[in-house]
Amino acid sequence: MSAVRLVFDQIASAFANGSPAVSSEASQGRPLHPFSIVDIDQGMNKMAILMQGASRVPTQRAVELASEWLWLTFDRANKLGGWSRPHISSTESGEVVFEWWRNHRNLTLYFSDDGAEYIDVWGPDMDHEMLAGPLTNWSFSNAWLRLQS
Amino acid sequence: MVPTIVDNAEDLYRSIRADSDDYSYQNGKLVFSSSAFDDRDMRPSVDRTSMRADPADSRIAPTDGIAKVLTADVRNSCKIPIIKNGTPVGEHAVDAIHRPIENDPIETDNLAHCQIECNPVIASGSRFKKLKAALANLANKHGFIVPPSKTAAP
Repeated sequence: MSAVRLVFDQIASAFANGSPAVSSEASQGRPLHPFSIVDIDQGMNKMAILMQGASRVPTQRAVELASEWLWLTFDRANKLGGWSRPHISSTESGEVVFEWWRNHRNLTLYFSDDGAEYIDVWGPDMDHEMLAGPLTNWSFSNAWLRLQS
Repeated sequence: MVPTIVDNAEDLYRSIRADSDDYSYQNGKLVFSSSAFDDRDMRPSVDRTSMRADPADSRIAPTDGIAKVLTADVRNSCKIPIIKNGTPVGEHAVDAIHRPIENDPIETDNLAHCQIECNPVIASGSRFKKLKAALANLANKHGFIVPPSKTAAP
């Protein structure tokens, strides 16, 4: 794993979404990448399309939560480096799913009526090659850095 | 038909909808989404190869593609002892169980039908999310063995 160090953001509101806002140390003090509204627009459009589908229709709450996190992941990932638009899908349980892949790693975020979760995957062993838990700014930042490593 | 044990050496075929969110191309490389193994009952359906001469026969819709995972890999994706009072009393395990469909009022007959199931039965969505992630990870090793198509084969 790379030796990137997480530090607390000076400009972001502390404990947004129940966890401290952090960046990689190297990214602080640098201007953000040019803001690209296109990725957000395409993500929002994709979720709107999912809601019009005939099957695997996500719930309203799941889409609302996913929409909030689309902005948050964009912001976090831009600060930490390596942003790319997530692959967005939905499940039989009405969840919205964001996924990213890099080399042998995968990061999956689930949004449902019950909240948001993440799964960080680096192999098929469910108990030794995956980390999972509630999605917060902190857990996303750590998982994102592992994805980039 | 009497169900039989699925051999470790058998492949398991999963039908993947064409032009769906079940897969994508990242920098030109095919990757399967966890959603490719989603299932309402948390027991994804697959077909066993010993009863399928042609993998294309596992397609649910004529334009579907076929992904595969190895039975041995599926079984190795989870082997955690269940300890109670310091004593092993069982094992969390994943298995491919032969569940032939025959004379079902709703579903078409499929003697090759299997389900990927967990023991103990999955009760939490979180555990099922990990199972889907494991299966997608395994399927990524092989890619499509029958590619999806725009139009149905003649």
